[in-house]
Amino acid sequence: MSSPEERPGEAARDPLALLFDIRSFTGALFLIFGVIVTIVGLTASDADIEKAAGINLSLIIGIIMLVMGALFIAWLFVSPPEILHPHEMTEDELPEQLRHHGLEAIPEHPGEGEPPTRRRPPGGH
Amino acid sequence: MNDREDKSGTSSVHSLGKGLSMSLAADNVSALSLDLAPVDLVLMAIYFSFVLGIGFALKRAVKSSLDFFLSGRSLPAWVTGIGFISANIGAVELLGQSASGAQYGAAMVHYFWIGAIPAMVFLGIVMMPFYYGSKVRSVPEYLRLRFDPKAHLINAVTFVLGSILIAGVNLYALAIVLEALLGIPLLLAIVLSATFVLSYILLGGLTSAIYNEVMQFFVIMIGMIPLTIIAIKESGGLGQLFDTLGADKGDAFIHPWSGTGIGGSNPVGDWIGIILGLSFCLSFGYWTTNFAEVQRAMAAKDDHSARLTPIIGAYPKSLVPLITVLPGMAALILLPGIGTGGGNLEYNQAIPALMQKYLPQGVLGVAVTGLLAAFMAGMAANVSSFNAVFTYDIWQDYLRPGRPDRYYLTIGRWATVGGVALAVLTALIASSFSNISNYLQTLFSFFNVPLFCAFIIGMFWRRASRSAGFWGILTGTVTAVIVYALYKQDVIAFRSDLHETMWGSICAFAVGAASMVIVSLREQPKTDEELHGLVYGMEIRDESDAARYAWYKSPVFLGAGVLLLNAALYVALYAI
Repeated sequence: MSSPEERPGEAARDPLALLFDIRSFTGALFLIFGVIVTIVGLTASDADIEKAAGINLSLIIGIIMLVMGALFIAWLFVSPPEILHPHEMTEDELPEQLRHHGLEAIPEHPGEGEPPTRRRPPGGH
Repeated sequence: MNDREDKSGTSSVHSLGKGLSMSLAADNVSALSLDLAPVDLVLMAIYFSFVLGIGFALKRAVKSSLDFFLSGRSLPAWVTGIGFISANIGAVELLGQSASGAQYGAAMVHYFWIGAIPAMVFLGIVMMPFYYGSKVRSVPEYLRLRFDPKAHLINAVTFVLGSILIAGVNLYALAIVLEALLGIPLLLAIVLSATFVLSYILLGGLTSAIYNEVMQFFVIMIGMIPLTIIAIKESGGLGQLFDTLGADKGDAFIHPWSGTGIGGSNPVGDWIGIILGLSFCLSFGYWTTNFAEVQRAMAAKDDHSARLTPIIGAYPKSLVPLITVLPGMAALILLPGIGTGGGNLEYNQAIPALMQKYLPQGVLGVAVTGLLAAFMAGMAANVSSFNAVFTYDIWQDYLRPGRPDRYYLTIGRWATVGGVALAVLTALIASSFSNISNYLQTLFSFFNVPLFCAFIIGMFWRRASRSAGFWGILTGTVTAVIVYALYKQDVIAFRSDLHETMWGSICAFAVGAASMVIVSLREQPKTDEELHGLVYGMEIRDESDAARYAWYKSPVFLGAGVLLLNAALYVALYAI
C-alpha cells in the first residue's frame, strides 16, 4: 500500500486543512503560553528566581515555548498536510479495518460493535 | 537495607475504612498544598479551552476533503507516535513512577528499559502487521473469533472491572492535585474531577483524543524537564545525589541490577522475575493487548507508519524515567520525611510537592496543567473503554441483544455516567495506597497477564482449541489472585509488592498456559477456515512495501536502535 508521500497529492492550499492540522493547535498554544510566561519572566522578582535554584526559569521557559510555537507554525507552512482526495486512494489499499467506514470502524474502545450511522458521507465513492 | 518491604497499602477492609473516614473528615488536611498565582490559573484555563475547543471543532469539521484528512487516514507517524506514548503517560508514570523512585530507587528504570521498550518494539515489528493483516478489530473480538463466546465474556467482565479500578487511579491522581490546589477535602476533589472528566468524555472522539495527547505531551515535557534539572541541581548534582542515596539506602537503591540475584536484596526483585515476569508477562501483556494504544498506531496513514508508531514512541519513553524516577529519588533528599507516614507527604505527592517548592509562577501553571491533562485523559480513556465493553460486549452480546442502535447509544451514555460514579469509589480504594504504582502493577498481574496468555498462545499455537481461551484466562486470574492473597497473609514471602507482581504474573501465565494445553488436547482443534486471519502465519497477507522505504526508516532498524539506546542508558546509570 503506497503512502500519500508516494503519490502526488494536492498539497493543502486549503486554509481549513492548515487550520485543523495538529501543528497549528500546538503552535498556537505554545505561542500564547510563551508570550504569557515570558512576560512573567521579564517581571520576575528576586524571590522567584531564588526559588528555582537561582535561575530565571519563567524567562527561559517562556522563550523556549515561543520558539517551539514558532517552529510548529513554520513547519506547518514548510510542509503542509497532504490532502488525499478520495479518488487517489482506493478502498483496497486500506487495511481491512478502515474500509468502508474509515477510522470510525476502529472501535474507540475495545469491543465496540458496528459503528452507528455515520454523520458524514463516507470518504470513498 | 530491609529485605522485607513494608506492605504499602494493605488491601484489608480496615485500611479502606480508614481511608474513607479520612476522606470524609471535614478537617482533613493534606500535607501538600499547591499555591497557584492568577497567571497559573489563566494558563490552565487557556489549555483546557483548547482541549474542549479541539473536541468541539473536530466533531464539526465536515468538508469532504477534510474527511479523509481528519478521519486519521493521513496522520503521520510522528503524530501517532507521540500520541501513542502520551496516551501511556498518565498518573502512573508521573506520580506513580516517581513515588516508586522514592520508595525503591533506581531499579525502577527496569519498568521502562526492560519492562516496556522491548514490548513496544515487538508490537511494532510483529503485532501491528498481524493486526493489519487479520480480521481483528479489538482484543475481546479476537477472543470471540479465535476461541468462543465464553472466552469473550470472561475477558469482557475482567476488562470492565480492571478499567474501572484503573480509572479510579487516574481520578485519584487528579483529586490529589485538586485537593492540594484548592484545599478541599479529598472526596470533594474526587467528585469535582469526575464531573469535569465526564464532560470531556462526552465531547470526545479518537482524533481529538490524539490531538490532545500530542499537545499534552509537550506541555508535560515543558513542566517535568526543568523540574528534574532543578531537583538534581538542588541535590548537589547527579553524582552527589547517588552517593548520598547509596550511603543511606544501600547499593541496590542506586544500581538497578545490584542485588537481583536469587536471594539478593534488590527490592524490585530478582533477575528471573524482572525478565520473565516484568518484561515478558506484565509488559508484553500490557502493550500487545491494550487496544487504546494499538488504536493510535492504527490511526497512522499507512501500514509502515503504523509499524513505526510504537517504535517512534519508544524513544521518548526511554527517556521518561529520567524525568520521573530521578526526581522521585531526589525527593528523598529535598522533601525530608516523605513516605514515612504520619502527617508527612506520601510518595504519590512527590512530584506536585517538588513543583510547588521549586517552580516559579508561570512555569508552575504549565507544569500543573500538564499533570491535570495527563490524568484527565487517562481517566477518560479508561471510562470510555469501560463504557464500550460494557455496552457492546456485555449488554448487547449477552443481556439485551437485538435492539436498535439508538438503544445501545443510550445504554452507553448511562454506562459512562455509571462508570464515572464507580470510579469515584475505586478512587477511594486507590487512596489507601501510598504508592499507586504498586497497586496498578498488582491489577495488571490480575487482569492483563491471563488475557495476554490466552491471546499470545491463541495467536501462535494453532492447536489451541475452543475452550482453551476461557480456561486460560480463568485459571490465570485465579492464580494471580491467590499468589497475591498468600503474600498479603504472609504465607509466601516476597521482597516487596513489586516482586510479588512479577512472580504472580509468572505463575498466572504458567498456570494459564498449562490449562490451555490440557484443555486443547482434549478437544477438537479448529479448522483452518475458522482460523483464517486469526493465527500468525495465516493472516490475510497485506504485502507491505517495506522495500520502498529507506533502511533507516525500517521498523527493525529503528527498533534495534532504541534497544541499543536502552543498553547505553543502563551503562550510563552505572557510570554516575
